[in-house]
Formats: sequence, structure tokens, C-alpha cells
Amino acid sequence: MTELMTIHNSFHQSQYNHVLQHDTSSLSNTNTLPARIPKLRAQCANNSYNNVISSVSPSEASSSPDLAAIRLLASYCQASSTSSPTDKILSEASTLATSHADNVNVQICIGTLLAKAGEYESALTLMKQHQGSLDVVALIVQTYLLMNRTDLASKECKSARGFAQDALLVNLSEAWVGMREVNHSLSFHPSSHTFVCFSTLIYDSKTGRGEISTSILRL
Amino acid sequence: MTRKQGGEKYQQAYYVFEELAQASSTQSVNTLIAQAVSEIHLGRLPEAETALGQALGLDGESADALANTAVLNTILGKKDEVESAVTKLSAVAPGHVFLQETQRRKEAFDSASQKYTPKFEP
Repeated sequence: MTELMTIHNSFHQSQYNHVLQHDTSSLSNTNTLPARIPKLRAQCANNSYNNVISSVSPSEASSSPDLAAIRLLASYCQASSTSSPTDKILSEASTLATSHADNVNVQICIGTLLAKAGEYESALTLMKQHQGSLDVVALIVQTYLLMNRTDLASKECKSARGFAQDALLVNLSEAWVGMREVNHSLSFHPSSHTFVCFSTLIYDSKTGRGEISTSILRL
Repeated sequence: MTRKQGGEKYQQAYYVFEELAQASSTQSVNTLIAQAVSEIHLGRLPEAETALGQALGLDGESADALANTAVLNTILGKKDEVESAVTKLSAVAPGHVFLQETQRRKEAFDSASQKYTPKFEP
């Protein structure tokens, strides 16, 4: 269990190479898949989409919804990075979202995929079926931030704080939201037009916010 | 002055990111960038410059670190550094959201400015 915790923490700290270097050969059979998924997600985060696609064979994907989900995510990222059509991938993703909505890795990977595709509502419908998964909560927060619904993102953080206290992902989620809440309150400051311009500059140039949201979407 | 209104939230976010970014066991490009961005918001520009330098030291081709370097140098008025960051970004990630958004704004500015005739004094 602690092995898995270490892998997850490294992942959430964006230490993707640590995740990949982690030796998981000694893990028991039941932990093989839970350790493999974050490794495949780390490869996606490193833009190594083809490695994921070649390491998960189509037959493996057809027998495991978890692997099917990560393979679809990698295929989607690969296709959109080369501006190739994504319609077929999106429709397969929607099918998987319906048939295995209660699978946490389907929620994570397909939720990420749908949010990346701008299908925020379907992403949220799928992810909201989670059973106390902080990974999914963090992705829900990110999706709300992408939708500019800082209020809902903040609510989500508060409820996560209720059941997860001082978890790393909750701290990170609150920090992401905090960076946006300020921006929001400042842009309505009536007396400072110059500041509004300045704030728009930072906001739009997707400095932190952009980076943070993309990094979260890679979770 | 206006920063006072929300400075606390940036400060709290900064603590979270900085704690991860500055311990060697938890450091990563993304947390360094996040730290730098919170520092930009807090007006601590030299510190932000240091953090972004650390991020680029870990991965010189990190698209997000390059985009943020361009933004920071815009605020600092360092034109040459902005240009070199943008050039590098265009090479490693031509579809980066920063490039798309700046292009969109350039076009909006150009179309708006067409309505006006500039007058130059001799």
C-alpha cells in the first residue's frame, strides 16, 4: 500500500520521471494494475502518447476498462497534438463512460479526455459518480476552473477538506482555486482600470493558471 | 495597493507550491512554475525569475515554463528575453495556448485599429 502511495504522491507532485522509474516488480498481483495506471498517466503527462498506445495492446484494452480508458486518453492526446480527427475516439470514450461509469480509472481518464475536448458537462456527469476519490475531486476542481466556475470549484474543495483533511491533493486544489478567486475579486475592483488590464494580461497569457490547469488535466 | 484585497490567497497558494518546489525530494517543473506564478501575483518578480530559471534548468524545453518566462519578461520590460522565450516556445509547442491567445489578441487589435486613421505629426 505504501508503495502505491509513493507512486501517487510523486504523480501529484508532477514528478513524472520518478513515477516511471519506480520499481513495481515486487508488487502483488492485486496491486499491479493500480501501479500501472499512474505510470501510464505519467507517460501521457510527459507527452509520450505512443509509448502508452504501444504498451497497452488492443486485446488488453478490450478486457480491462481501466486500460481501455488510459489507451483512449493517450490516443486522444496523440490525435489532438497532431490535429488529427478525434470523433471516433470521442464516441468510444462516451460509450466507455456509459458502460463503466463506476470505474475510478474510467472516471479519471475519460473525465480528463472529455474535459480536454471541451465537453465539460459530460465530463462532470461521469466524474461526479466517484466514491471518495481525491484524484477525481481534483479533476472536477480543474474542470470547474476551466469553465470559469471558481465558485463551484471552491465548493468542491470545501467538501473534500471535510473527508480528506490534510491530503496533498486537497492542499493543491485549494491553492489552484485560491489563485483564481483573487483574480476574480480583483477584476471587479471599481477604482483601478489599470489593474484590470494588468490582471487580464496575466490571466490570459495563461501563466500560472493555464499551466496549473493543464497540469491538473494531466493528472 | 489593489493586491491587498486578495494577497492572502496568493500567499497561501505560494506556501503550498513553494514547499513542494523547494525540497529536492518533491521538486518538479510544474510546482516550480506554480511557485513562480504565485510570486508574479505577489509582485515578487526577482524571486519568480529565479524559480522559472530553476524550472528551465530541469527541463529547458518545458513549454509552460517558456510561456511564463515570456510573460514575466513582458512585465519586466525585457523585450529580447520575451522574444527568445517566444521563439523557443514556437519551436517546441507551436500549438501552445499562450501562442494561440496572443495571436487572437493581435488580430483583435489589428481589426479594431483599422477603424482609426493614425495621424503622425511631421
